[in-house]
Amino acid sequence: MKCTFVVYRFDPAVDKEPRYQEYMVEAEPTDKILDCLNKIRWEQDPTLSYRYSCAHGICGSDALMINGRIELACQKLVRDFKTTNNFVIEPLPLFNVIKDLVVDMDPFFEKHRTVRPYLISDEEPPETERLQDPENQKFFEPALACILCGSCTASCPINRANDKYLGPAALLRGFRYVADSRDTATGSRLAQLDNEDGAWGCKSMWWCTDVCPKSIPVTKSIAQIKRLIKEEEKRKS
Amino acid sequence: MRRYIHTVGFSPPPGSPEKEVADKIAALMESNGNETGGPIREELQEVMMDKVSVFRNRPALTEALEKVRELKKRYQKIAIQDKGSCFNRDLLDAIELDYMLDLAEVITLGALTREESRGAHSREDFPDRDDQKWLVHTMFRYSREEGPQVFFKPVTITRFQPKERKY
Repeated sequence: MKCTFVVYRFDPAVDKEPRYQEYMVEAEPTDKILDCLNKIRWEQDPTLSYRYSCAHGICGSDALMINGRIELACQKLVRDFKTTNNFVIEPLPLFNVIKDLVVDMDPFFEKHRTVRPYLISDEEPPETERLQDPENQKFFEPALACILCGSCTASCPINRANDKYLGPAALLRGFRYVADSRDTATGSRLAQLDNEDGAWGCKSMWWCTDVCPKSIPVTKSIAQIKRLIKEEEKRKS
Repeated sequence: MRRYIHTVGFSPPPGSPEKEVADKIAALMESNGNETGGPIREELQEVMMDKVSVFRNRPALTEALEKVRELKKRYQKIAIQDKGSCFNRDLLDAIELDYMLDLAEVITLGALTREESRGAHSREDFPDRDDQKWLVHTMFRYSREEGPQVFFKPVTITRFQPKERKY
């Protein structure tokens, strides 16, 4: 069946302003949106740029604005949209556009690095692995599903107003480590997140949870950080 | 693996490897041929799916080899439409396609050479497994003058004795 794709185009070497280009694509209802973009590139216009790698919702490269909603292009099928086969494809909001649908994710990953996304432990390394308590693991397991696609951070209204705000993705990763019983830097981690650019910046608008392609309870996880900060305060006083 | 690395010979490394890549990219960018990558990739996918899948036979593989070599020839006339230097997926696709064509050629040649059936390589014209002749690794070396050249490496048997699988 015929589908119309209106795609955001911007090449900084040529264009002064972004423009929209229309393509007709012959697609099956079960084709992924990414398949359609590939068809455009391979059959009609090889100059179209966008990121993708695994094409199976694991690498987190192809988060795009599809019909005004942030989705992974590889996880949504043509038939998932009730827009009579008309599609508008735009880059992720919030980030600067490098070319066409490719945005600059550097600020996103910089913030991600500031939460120290790795295990910190002052205990001697054991002979084998550092075993995790299954109950504790269950508590933060949903946060492990994050593929760092940036959908949540791009959708977050707080992020648009305050560019210093860590954003849901970095906070989620922060939660993953403050909740991990094997990590011994919990105190300094919580102190780092205890401000308006950290956990308290979140005003529970739920957009992150709504767009998350991995169905992670992002807002709830940020609220857990707030709870842990308050518990730590109580414990200290 | 370590043992293999110690015993295998190395071909001398190229004098300036970055120049080879830079030249290749420059040639692709400047080419004004009349082919584009899309149709070549699609035809390659089709022929590899239809003729070089799990079930294979000599006539189909021979046809596939011819087709792959024809596509390699067509690839020589490929032109890049995106002339920019920023996130040029067209160029990336073309470089990938080049390697895919090389790989498709050796996969087909390897399948033609191995006249037996083993695991996911099922030759309809040679349905039986033949450990006498084919308990070897198929290897290829490549030179620009001669193209891909097949050779074989003996299999080192360690813990598991080779035997036919009967499920």
